[in-house]
Amino acid sequence: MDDIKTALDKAAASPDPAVRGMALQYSEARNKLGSLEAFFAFYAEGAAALNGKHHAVKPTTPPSLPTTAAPPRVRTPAPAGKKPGTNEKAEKFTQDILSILREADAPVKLETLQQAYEALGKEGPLQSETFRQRMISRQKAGTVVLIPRVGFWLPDAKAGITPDA
Amino acid sequence: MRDIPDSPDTVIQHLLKKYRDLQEAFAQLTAHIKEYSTRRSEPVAATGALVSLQEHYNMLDQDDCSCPICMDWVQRREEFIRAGKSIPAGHKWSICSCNDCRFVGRFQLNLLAAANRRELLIEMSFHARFHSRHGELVMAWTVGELAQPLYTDNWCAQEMNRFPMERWLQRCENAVSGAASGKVFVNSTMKTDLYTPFNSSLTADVDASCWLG
Repeated sequence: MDDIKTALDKAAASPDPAVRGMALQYSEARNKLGSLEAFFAFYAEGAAALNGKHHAVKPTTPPSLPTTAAPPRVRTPAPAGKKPGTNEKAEKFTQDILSILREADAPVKLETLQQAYEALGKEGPLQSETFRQRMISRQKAGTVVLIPRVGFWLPDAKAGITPDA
Repeated sequence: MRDIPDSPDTVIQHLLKKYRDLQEAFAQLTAHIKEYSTRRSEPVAATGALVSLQEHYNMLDQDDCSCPICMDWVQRREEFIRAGKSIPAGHKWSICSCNDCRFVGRFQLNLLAAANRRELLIEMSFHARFHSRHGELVMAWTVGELAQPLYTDNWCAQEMNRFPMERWLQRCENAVSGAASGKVFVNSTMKTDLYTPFNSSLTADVDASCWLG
């Protein structure tokens, strides 16, 4: 052990850069070997604790650490009788529009329909969607139909009504 | 190492292979170091600096003059940085006496020696450029002197900066004056008259003789 220590000291003091580089390489390799040996010793310790029953190490999720963050959200089941994913407010809007159309018994233009709906006083003036946007989405869904230049009408009562020329 | 776990894990197998390769290379390196450290090997010296040695005083550290002394300084500085990466965690190499830290200290000493040699070269280049008509001879003597094996790394690192510049100039004067057939330095060693009839080409060419009567 002492001879390599002396040799390493001499190599580090050598005027030849190649020999000095060799000394540096030796030192780096020794450190790498040391870290690998430490890892294997640690691994063998774990293997011995398992009485030789150690198997392939599978990648595992990191252990959960205690944290001060809020607990994860728990999904609450929907109440009985209600379909998951349905919007109660939108459904109510659709029913109100359909009842207005039935009472009018004729196609209603957008402005008139909006005035009639606002007259019911069921919603405030500020909504996430405009009245027109909501009507178009119902038209696309087939809940109501839009007869050009006539107005919105019930889908099943479309027959016999033609747009004004 | 006593027992390496025989595991089917591919990561462990890869590390084991790396470990065995490294062990093999390490054994070879150990043998080489034991062999080469006892040899007196001299590096191949670079010849022909790109920049005149007399211009060293004016150069920055980043400039590459490719003279052997500056190349040695650059190389040893890089080696010191590389050695510093192997300091064990928690150790302070400058005060620690463990083998790893002493190894780093050896490279620091090497760097200090190279830095002192280079500083002397720079100082001499200034005097050679401005205080001598024989700058080329002065620098040749300086480089030759510093290449002598009597100036060991330990001496250069610890003793060289104890000697004043005048001592080096005096030694150079004694050594070169024969070849120069006269005075080498004109006013730095206080051997010549106060008035010198020539100025450096870099200074303003003003005739000062009128002030001397």
